[in-house]
Amino acid sequence: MSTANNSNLKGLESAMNRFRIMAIWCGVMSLLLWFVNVPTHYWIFKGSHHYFTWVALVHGFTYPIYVLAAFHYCLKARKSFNQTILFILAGTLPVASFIAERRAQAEFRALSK
Amino acid sequence: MTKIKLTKSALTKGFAALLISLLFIELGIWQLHRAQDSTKASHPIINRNVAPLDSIAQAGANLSPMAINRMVEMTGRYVKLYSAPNQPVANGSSKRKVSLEVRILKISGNRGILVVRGVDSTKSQSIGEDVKVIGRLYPRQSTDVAIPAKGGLTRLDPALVTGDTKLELFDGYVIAQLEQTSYGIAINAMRISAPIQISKVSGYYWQHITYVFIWWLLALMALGAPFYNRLRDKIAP
Repeated sequence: MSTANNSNLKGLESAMNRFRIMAIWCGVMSLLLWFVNVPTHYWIFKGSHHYFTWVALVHGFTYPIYVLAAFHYCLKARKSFNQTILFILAGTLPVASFIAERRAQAEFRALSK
Repeated sequence: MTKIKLTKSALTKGFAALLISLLFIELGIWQLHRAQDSTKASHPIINRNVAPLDSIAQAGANLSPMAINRMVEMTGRYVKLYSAPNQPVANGSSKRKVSLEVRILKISGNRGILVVRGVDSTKSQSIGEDVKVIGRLYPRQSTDVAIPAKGGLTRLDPALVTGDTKLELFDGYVIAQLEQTSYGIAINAMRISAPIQISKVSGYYWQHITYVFIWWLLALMALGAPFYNRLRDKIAP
């Protein structure tokens, strides 16, 4: 019984760590996207936009990895379907993915006590 | 063996998942078109040399970004006539919408290309002889600008006329700037300007491709949504 629980907890921890890495990464990229890439494209310092074109590309390529990591973590953590959707959407907003990452860690700590 | 109960609720969920999935697929296709549009003239080619169409494009193949905006020449015979209504044409700094006369020019090797001769007139000219056409090559239009009508093209796209001809068509279309008979006599038409086309789609090709991937991934997940609980119970019992 305890071996099965330990194995489940280990699996959850691995999934959570993968999710945390991707959440932090996506959070940083979202911050750059929303507060550097988009403003320089439409509103301010337009001449410098070409320095930041890579941001949208990198965010675009890594967001699917975040989606998969979030989905796997939510399955492992037995989250409801609606919570899973919120976790996936968190990767598109600058601060939301950091909140999701903190929340996942706190939930795991509570579970492993 | 587990049986899937087809209750009303399950059917509704399945139908909703299918609808959402179709919406995501459509959004992916939209991004795919934007990716295609962004390559159209992200590198506008300023080359005044007129190149034979054969040397820069191939019939039945996608137009390379390097061929777009090039001045081309080809000789052949007009075989089909169409009208393309509601097409935006540059008029000084503004744009006006006109109906354009479009023909398929049959060239050697059983190939053809769409040629925009100019503004459509009520009396279409009969041109039964070989014609040399010089004009600018453009990528096919991806969005309709007119309501479908018989003999009318909703957009300038060779895909719309493939059913009318057995010719192997070149991708894109040419806006004619000069037409000559084999004796060197110019053929008149109400020509339209053929400016270098610069893409107005923001973003880069690969950026749009990543969005395609994201939308289609979400479509796949939406399709699997009705089975979420079952999958969760299997992975984390």
